[in-house]
Amino acid sequence: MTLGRNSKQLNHTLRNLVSSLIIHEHITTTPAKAKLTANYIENLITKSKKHALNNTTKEWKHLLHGKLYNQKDTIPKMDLFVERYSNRNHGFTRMLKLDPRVGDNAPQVALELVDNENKELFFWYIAKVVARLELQGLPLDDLTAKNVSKVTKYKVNGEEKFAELVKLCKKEFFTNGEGLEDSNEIEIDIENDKLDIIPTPLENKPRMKSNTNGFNKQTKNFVVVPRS
Amino acid sequence: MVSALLPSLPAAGLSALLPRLPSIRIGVALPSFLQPTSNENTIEDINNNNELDSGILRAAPKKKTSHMKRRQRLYGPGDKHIKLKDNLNRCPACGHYKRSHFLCMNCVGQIRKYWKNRDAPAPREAEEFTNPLDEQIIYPGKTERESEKKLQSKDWLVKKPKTLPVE
Repeated sequence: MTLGRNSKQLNHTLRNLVSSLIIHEHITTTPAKAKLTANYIENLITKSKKHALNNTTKEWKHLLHGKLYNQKDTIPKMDLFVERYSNRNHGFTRMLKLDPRVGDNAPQVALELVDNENKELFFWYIAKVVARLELQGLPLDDLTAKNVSKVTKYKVNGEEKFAELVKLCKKEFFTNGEGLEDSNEIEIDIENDKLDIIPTPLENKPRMKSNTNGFNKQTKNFVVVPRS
Repeated sequence: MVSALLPSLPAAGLSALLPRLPSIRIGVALPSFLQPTSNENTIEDINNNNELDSGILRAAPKKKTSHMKRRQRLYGPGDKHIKLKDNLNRCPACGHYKRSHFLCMNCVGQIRKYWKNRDAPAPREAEEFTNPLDEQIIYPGKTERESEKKLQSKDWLVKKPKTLPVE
């Protein structure tokens, strides 16, 4: 809980993390720090919303001075968050697991503010998935459809922005053999259509080299059941 | 002490035969913590004076651990091995291997690279000099040594291994 620090150091660490999260809206840390940071910022935003929407309290930003660093940059941004999260009661942050850090193998997590304009990794990732599916002419699977709705639901002009981003992803990540060898896959699909055979889409490929190697035995025709 | 307890012996010849003992002439025996202690026979002194034959044994391995036993200890137990990763999945975006419930690091790398280029500050415009001599004087340039060039190549940095596509 204390991250191996005393209370003074812990406060400084947390304020630094929260301040940089507010400024950049996307940071990478260890899961332990990310959880504390998420709690801290959710609390700040909830209270700011409460004060801002309550007409009787006029001055509330001075309350943030003791809680944040770089006050010139961070405190004005709270207005933006109050407006952005007016439809949400909680869940202003999102944690995404990343591979452990090279060197000390410490687990890493990307912590980001939901629905931010500049650096929303999950939004970009889902856009990339959709870009691949559209390039191959495949329908969205259940999980991806759910993720798309999740990502665009509360965003201002979310669907338009998503469509734009999908275009950009097609251009940036799926050309010149970068990422997926999309050209080959498309050719295969076209041939299959001509032959009137059920196409072999990517998600039905085995996940492992051989499916008799002891683990992940059900590697074909598995159904992804999205959590609701 | 013995001498304190015993009644004093009158015979001088007998006392010469007995070993010399520190004599305290008090009728009552002193408790042990009040009696004078001699520093001559402490363990430290014994060790310092005759290290080899002090008569005290310290803990030490009796035999050298054999090659077999050492390797059995260090490399035998299964929990010390690198574990197999059976939580591998296929990235829905790029088709490379990724851990389940984790983001695909290939895609994350591509996206972050794009962000970095997008948010990079605009490159500084080159100054224009009417006289090319001015430029030579203000910016005389720098000769890089071999070691500096090697440092800048950054081959020595440990990088994240690249992800592999699922066949």
